[in-house]
Amino acid sequence: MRSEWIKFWSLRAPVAALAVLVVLNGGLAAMISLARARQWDGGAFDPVEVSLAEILMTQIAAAVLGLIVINAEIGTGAIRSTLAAIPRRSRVLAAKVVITALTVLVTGTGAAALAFVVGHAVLVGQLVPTAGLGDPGVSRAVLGAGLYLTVAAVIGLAVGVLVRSASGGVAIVMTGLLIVPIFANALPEAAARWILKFWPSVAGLRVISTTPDANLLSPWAGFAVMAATALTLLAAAFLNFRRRDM
Amino acid sequence: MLELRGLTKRYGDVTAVDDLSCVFRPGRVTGFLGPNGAGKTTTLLLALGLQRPDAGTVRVGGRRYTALDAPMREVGALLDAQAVHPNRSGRDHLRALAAGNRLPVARVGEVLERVGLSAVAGRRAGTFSLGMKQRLGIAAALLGDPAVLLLDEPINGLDPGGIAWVRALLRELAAEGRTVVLSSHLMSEMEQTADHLIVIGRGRLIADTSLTAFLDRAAPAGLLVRAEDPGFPAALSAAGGSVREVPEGGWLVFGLPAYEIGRLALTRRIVLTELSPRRGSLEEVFMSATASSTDFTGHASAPVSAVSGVPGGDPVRSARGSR
Repeated sequence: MRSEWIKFWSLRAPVAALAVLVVLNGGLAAMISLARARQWDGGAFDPVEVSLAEILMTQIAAAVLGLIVINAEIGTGAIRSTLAAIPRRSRVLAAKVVITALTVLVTGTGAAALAFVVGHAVLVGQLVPTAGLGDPGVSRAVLGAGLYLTVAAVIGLAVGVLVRSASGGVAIVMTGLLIVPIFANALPEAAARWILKFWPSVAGLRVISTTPDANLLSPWAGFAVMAATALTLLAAAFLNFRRRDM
Repeated sequence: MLELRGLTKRYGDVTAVDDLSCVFRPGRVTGFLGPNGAGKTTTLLLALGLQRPDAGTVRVGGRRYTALDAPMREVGALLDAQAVHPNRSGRDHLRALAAGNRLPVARVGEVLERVGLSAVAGRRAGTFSLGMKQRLGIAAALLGDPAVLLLDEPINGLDPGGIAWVRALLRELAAEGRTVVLSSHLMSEMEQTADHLIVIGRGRLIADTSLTAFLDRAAPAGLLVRAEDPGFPAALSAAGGSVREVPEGGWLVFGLPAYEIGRLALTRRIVLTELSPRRGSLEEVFMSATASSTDFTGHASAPVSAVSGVPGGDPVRSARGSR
């Protein structure tokens, strides 16, 4: 664990990814909040969801962070030094998962709180409904956003183990987490509907919503879909990592 | 002590290591020698548990490597000096490894001192020269003060001072009673450093013997002949000698005693400018021992073919290049 901790903080890339995560989260929260407030036509408006919606995009920073944590070693061959020093590979991978997840959970929840505050500040100046931190569901949504980012990082890490190349990993993560949901509406209606309800990175987003929607999953059910996906990938990553020739 | 028993590793159709059994003993530098592609690195990867053998076992001091709690205390390895993250400092690289085996942080400073990197350890490893990376890799291998050291081509990229330093260090480590395994395709390196040789080709054991015994067995003593007549080699061949040209000028002659060559020169009124005994170098011995095992199936008796340059290709070139 301490070994992985040192490795994590002795490189610039993971630290940079964390910084990007926080900055993008705040910045996008302001932009999305402003845009959505201006488009508001008096219909349903979930101020919490609006101010946290940017995590659909910033999860890429979290996922890339997960990728970096494993790829920094596989890509440079340093994984051999690591595994020669610690032949129990499951321990190595578990330590990476724990360090990454904890770091992103703390940073991601902080970034989500920042986004909420920024989004709130923007929304207050517009003629739209707003919510305070104490309102029902708000703290769950902020914590949920942090969890969402954490799960994204774990998915990135698992993909990084399964796909050895960094560019391939980024492509898969981008497509799976971001591009499929964005282009879902271009698909036939049934497929689009299914994706918007069950696709892990979309279903997971329900956790930041404070308004129930009969067409979609409940917040925690949606999050469970995403978490289950991450756990499946992680299990595959463990199996692969334990057996593979390095 | 490092013990291989029936070790076998296949990659698809290629058998990289083929039923290899041998023992690397403490208190001496064992040269692990073989042409490129002979399976040296694969053997080390198997020994370190980085790859799984298809058959056979590797034991370190009687135990399986992957069963060791703090393997760096038992085995120190330098596999590929380039395999460090370029953006991590040398010191952080060692700190992370030390933490992984619960080694005291003070060891990092000690090994950096021993390999002479203390002053630059805070720099990113990517800015290191290959020689510095080799030193960093050696530092990592020494971190756990292990009884067994596995070094894969540790002198690559070192300047002459660095090479002398590595040789002295390896001798020192062996004198301390450690098992030192020096893997290399550079035969000249073995001649300088190793006490014992384990030679493999195509993943199979070719020789497991002391350096001197290996030389005696396979290096025929020849005579270096220099003469002013370019036609002399033909006469030597006609008299039953086997002759080959030496790059520095002159010919190496096998199968004819010195007095025979002298008489031949006298009867032909040829001036001999040199007639001296010369033993084949380890390179040549090695070529003869592994010629049949390299992927190129060479011809005829080895010392001759070694200089005509073909069998084994790579080792010949690199051995020359290293002179």
